[in-house]
Amino acid sequence: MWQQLYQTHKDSEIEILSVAMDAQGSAKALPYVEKAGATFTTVVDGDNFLGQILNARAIPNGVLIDEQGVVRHINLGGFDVHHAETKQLVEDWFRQPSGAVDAPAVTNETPLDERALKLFERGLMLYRDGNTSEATTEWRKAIEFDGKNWIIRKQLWAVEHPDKFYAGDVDYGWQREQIDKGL
Amino acid sequence: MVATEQIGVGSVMPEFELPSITDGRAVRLSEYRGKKVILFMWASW
Repeated sequence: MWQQLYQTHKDSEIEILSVAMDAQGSAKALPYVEKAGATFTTVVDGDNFLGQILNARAIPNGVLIDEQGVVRHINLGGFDVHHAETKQLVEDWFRQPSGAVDAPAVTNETPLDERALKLFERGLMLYRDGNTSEATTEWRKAIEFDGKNWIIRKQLWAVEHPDKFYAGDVDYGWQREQIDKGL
Repeated sequence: MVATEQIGVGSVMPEFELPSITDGRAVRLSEYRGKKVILFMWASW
């Protein structure tokens, strides 16, 4: 749907920059980009840089940035082009000469737990060195410090249970069970 | 790394550089100056 929006508006001065937060990078994220037929750029933020600077603990997130590089809107956790409100907000913004956005920003006021972030980072380094089980151990420790950081938790789930993510559709029922069990 | 200030509406979005998913080319936010940009973050999970 982003591609549809992009096609409609790309001759005006707008751009879409898609960011895949996958620690596993293009291996897991590229299929989605290809399936969407996206002609806008997708980058990989495998180190959760944007998650940290935006104080985000979940996705999908959207930031609307104007021609001068100023943030005009943030929506952490609820920015989904399949939602009519998101699509409307974006289309209204394109047409708004002042670049202002009417809707209130949705941000996260609770600072991210630094210990969780450090453990996540350590796990990423281990993962990239091929030490997957040590990586997931660090990520599990990270979750103990911040059980609500879904960027960390879902990344852990995806690495430990690829069949629940990459063998067909994402198994959200399984995710709900994990949450109920405190896993 | 930690941001010393929360990014909010009205903040200048910090510069960043991330690799393109298709060819690994470094993409900088500053390349988009002069256009309205929708930055959206998602994942395979």
